[in-house]
Amino acid sequence: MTRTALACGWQAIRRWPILTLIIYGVGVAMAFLIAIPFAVAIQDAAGSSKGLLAGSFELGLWYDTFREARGDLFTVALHLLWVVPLYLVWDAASSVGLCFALANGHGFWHGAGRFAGRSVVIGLVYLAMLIAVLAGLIAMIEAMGLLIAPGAVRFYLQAVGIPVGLVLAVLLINLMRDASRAALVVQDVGLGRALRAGLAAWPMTGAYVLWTAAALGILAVSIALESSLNAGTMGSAVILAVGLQVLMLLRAAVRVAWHGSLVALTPLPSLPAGG
Amino acid sequence: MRSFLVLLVACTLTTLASAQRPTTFDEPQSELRVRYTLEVTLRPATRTIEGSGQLQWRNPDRVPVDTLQFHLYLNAFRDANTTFMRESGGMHRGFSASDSNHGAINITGLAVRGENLLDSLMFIRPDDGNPDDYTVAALPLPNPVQPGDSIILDVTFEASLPQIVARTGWMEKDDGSLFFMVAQWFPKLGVYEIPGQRYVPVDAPRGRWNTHQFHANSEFYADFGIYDITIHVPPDYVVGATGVRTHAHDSPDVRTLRYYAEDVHDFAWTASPVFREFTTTWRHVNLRLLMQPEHARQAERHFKAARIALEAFDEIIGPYPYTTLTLVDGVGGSNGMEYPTLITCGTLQIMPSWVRMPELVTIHEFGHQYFYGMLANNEFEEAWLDEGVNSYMETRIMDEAYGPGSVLDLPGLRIDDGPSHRLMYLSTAPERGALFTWSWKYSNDFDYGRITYSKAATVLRALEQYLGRAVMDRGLRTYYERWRFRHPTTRDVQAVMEEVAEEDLDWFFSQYVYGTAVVDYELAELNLTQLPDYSFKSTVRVRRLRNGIFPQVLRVRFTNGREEMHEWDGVSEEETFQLRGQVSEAWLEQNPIDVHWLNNRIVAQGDSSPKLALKYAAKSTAWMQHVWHLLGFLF
Repeated sequence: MTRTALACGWQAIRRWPILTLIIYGVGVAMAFLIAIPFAVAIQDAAGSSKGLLAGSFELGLWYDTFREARGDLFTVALHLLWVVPLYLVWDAASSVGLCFALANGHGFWHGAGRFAGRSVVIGLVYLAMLIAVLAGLIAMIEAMGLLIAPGAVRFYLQAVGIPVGLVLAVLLINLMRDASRAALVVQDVGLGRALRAGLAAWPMTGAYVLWTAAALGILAVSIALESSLNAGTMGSAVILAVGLQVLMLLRAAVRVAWHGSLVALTPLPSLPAGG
Repeated sequence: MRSFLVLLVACTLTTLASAQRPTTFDEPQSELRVRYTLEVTLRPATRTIEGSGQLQWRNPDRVPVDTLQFHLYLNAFRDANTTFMRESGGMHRGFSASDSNHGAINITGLAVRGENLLDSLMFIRPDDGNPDDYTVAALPLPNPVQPGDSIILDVTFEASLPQIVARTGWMEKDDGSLFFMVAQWFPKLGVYEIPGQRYVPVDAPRGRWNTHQFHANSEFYADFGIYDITIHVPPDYVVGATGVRTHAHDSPDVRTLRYYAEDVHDFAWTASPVFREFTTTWRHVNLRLLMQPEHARQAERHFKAARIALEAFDEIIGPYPYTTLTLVDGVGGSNGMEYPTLITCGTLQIMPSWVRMPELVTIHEFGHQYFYGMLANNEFEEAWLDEGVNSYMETRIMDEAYGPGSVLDLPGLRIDDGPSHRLMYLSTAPERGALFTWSWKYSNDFDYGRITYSKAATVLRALEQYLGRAVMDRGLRTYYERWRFRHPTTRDVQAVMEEVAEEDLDWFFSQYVYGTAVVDYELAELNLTQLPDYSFKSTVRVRRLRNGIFPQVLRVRFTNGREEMHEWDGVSEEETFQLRGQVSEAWLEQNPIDVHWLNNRIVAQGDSSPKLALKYAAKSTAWMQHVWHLLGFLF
């Protein structure tokens, strides 16, 4: 089943590259809203030392630069207050848009517009669940303090077990949420049934793990590229910019592919009995 | 049979330890004005110690002395009204004092040749007159001590140790085991400064006691001498202490250990039943590391840092003469402290190799064996001489041994020790606070740390840059050779540096040690003018923006790639350099003490290259895209 789902994901990328371009394009445009003013503020503040700053990391010069640019940087940070919620709404809308387009072969914007409201509600429900799980984990930490004797076992449970548990919980809830959104679109059901469909997401685990691993792999390669390429000259700065954006395009493709697998793994609504 | 084995082990331990001298010298090098022969018993159940023995003091003055003065520093923790508690609010370096587990020391017996003097003992408050402070006591003597003569006091005392505060006391760990860091635990004699010593005028009719109350932002000051200390602890306790262990004996109820130290001015010890012990050697030094069991995997990190420090100090400053060094991985607020031949380091259970806090603390605290230990300045009055000079050495050793990224070593984010001290110096108004300030006179503990550690390290890096490393090192080595096992002052440091540099450094010390001058030079202008013969003339204007004067080195690069260097004394508010040729770029040599580096460079017609913006637009765009995808996992 997983192999078929992965094949469907791969097909989704190949057959509808426009979806990858939409996901990538909106993501990069919204990133620009923060990144460009940030870079311009740094450039302006650095004055005649910008060549040095571009060439290597110099803590003292960076300190001066941030001190000089702190007013502009604060303004940029304030933009996050509206850009982040806007992105979250877009993320919820684009998820159901992808499901709709991949299930029907067309109509990304139509699907996004039709299901966006309910997709946001699903996102809120699972966010509440995530917060509840987080609270539960904190309660567990407290309980461990009372129940388990101090020592290596308690330390590793608290310092390693809890963070790992939290990451697994985030991933599981993320899987259930996507399954609910897929059911909402593919099965065209109400909110209640869509949420219940999230509970039956386990057959999708294999495909989810593999596509998530691919996404994390891209993140790792991106970090490695950034830290290994100094980008002190115009040429290397352009190479860095292009390299990072190629990786981000791949990341958008992985998102599309995951939705392709998701749609393939979501049962179609059963037909009414014929007479 | 069991008794026989115990006896055999005890005899073996005793024999093994007895051959070692505490230093590489055949005889003591210091004046030995004091000698402590004490026997102390630790009572873990009550967190108390009981001590008895003899204190010997020799009058170094040319006139009789009729009073002794003592530090009784555990009394700093007796209640909320002591000077320490009032100044600190019960909080010391992020660790708060317990509301219920106080500390105190009570002298129960004090006699000279059988004559009871306890009733004569009186508390004095030389610094602030606080009537609730009992950290300094004076003892009028019935018979003055004649010049060159010694007095021997028989003393008994009891002390309650506080729950750890200011690096002293006890702590119960999560597993129920107890940890003791026993410091400032005995009646310690103050320093009697004779005429000509430190700031006592050479023509003064007599010397004077220099004894300070325990303050929130101060460490210690005492005289060199001999410590012969016998410690009794429960038989399962592991002990670390100043000096060499000369005797060890185990009986079913008590473990007895005797330590001997000379040419030191304090004695501290630690005890815990759960210490994991590691040992190694470096040349003549026996290193002993006492670690919390959960940190045992990090033993080699500590030893490596200690060896690096021993090598570096030996090479730059001079030999480490003691034959032991005990490193203690303490608990809570006990860490990051120095005592003669014993330092507390500390770490966390998870300490990634790219965070070098254990290394930094180990190297810093070891450095205090020189700047505090042997070069025993008055830490109350001139803390920069130990914390500051030592922080300067710490930055050099850390950055050379572990850099780049000596403190934090992450891909794309490497932070070195020297620059991070500079940032600490800049972190609040740099014009606040002179290095030469009595510790408790700083406005708060943050200023004390920022100035005595970080500003001092930065100022000394600037001095090194000015003098050159070879001269700086020669100065430090001369300072060590001339002043070890004595009590040097800022004046003595200046005199040594001037001697080796062969120049008057008053401009430097008056501005940056005694004063609060701030350095900020700006490259204000770079103009090109075409001359009638079609050649170019470049005008470079440098401005001094703050009151600090520091010689500047101006470097210029011409369009043909040629570079020139010009020196300027930095005294006037502005200096203009007229240069033949077309200068493309001019910059001032980076000076650690300059508070604004961005204005130290200028390029002809401005730098319009967008490479910095492009680089950080590329990076931050990708960061934001990753953030979007990660947020997608949550909502």
